[in-house]
Amino acid sequence: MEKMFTRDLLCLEQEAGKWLEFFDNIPDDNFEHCKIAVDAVTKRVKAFARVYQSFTIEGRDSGYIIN
Amino acid sequence: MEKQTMLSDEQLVKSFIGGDCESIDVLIDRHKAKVFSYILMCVKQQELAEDIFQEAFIKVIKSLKRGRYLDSGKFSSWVMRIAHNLIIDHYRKQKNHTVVSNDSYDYDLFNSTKFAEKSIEDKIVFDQVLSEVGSLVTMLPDNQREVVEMRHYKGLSFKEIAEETGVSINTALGRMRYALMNLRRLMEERNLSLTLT
Repeated sequence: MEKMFTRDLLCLEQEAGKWLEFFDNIPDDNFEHCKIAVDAVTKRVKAFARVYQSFTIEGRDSGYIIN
Repeated sequence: MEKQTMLSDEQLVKSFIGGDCESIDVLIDRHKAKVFSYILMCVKQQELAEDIFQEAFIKVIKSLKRGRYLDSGKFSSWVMRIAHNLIIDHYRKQKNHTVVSNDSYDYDLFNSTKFAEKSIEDKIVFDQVLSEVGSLVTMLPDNQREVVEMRHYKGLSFKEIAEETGVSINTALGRMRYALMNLRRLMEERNLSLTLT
């Protein structure tokens, strides 16, 4: 027996696609006053934006972090 | 910062690429609720949604700094598409790693006699039942037998079965249905009772 369980990947992907379409059709302004608890993550992402530097080496994209 | 909140997404993107880090703060704050809500709706787990959210915005930042963002549509749609691709990646990674978590339950799901090692008698009955079922399966028409073997012996999903046999998912499901009906009929004809405890 190779695998005992599989998930219905196609169904999950289709569901994600439908939600994408649904959310994409909602105007951005509707989320303006929406409260969500992702403060710690947004703080990390904002900090990353300040320390990340990109560069290209031999035609390939790369990047480094300046602490 | 107050000045930036008045700017459009495209102006903020240009400003961030130009080196103004506060512009990305405004963009993140402006779109975080929409992006996070979408991710959470798909994956339905706060921590996982946070991971995907973080990864999505890190990709956004890297792409912007590499000049990969083309001003060809809505910024939020672009971010949503990045998040969507990460969600799909997550699903595909999970495909072969289904995890059953015990954390959400007050009692120990696995502390049950059902999971305890079987007695010799149970094993003999189990082997006998498997062997009877196996012989019944060989009596099925080829296309039904193939679906039963792929589903129950190889553990494939119906989508995978459909792909391997070159038929639609509905046809694969139909073949399984007929296979089960035929198995039931064969059992009745032979007065077999295949019950596992």
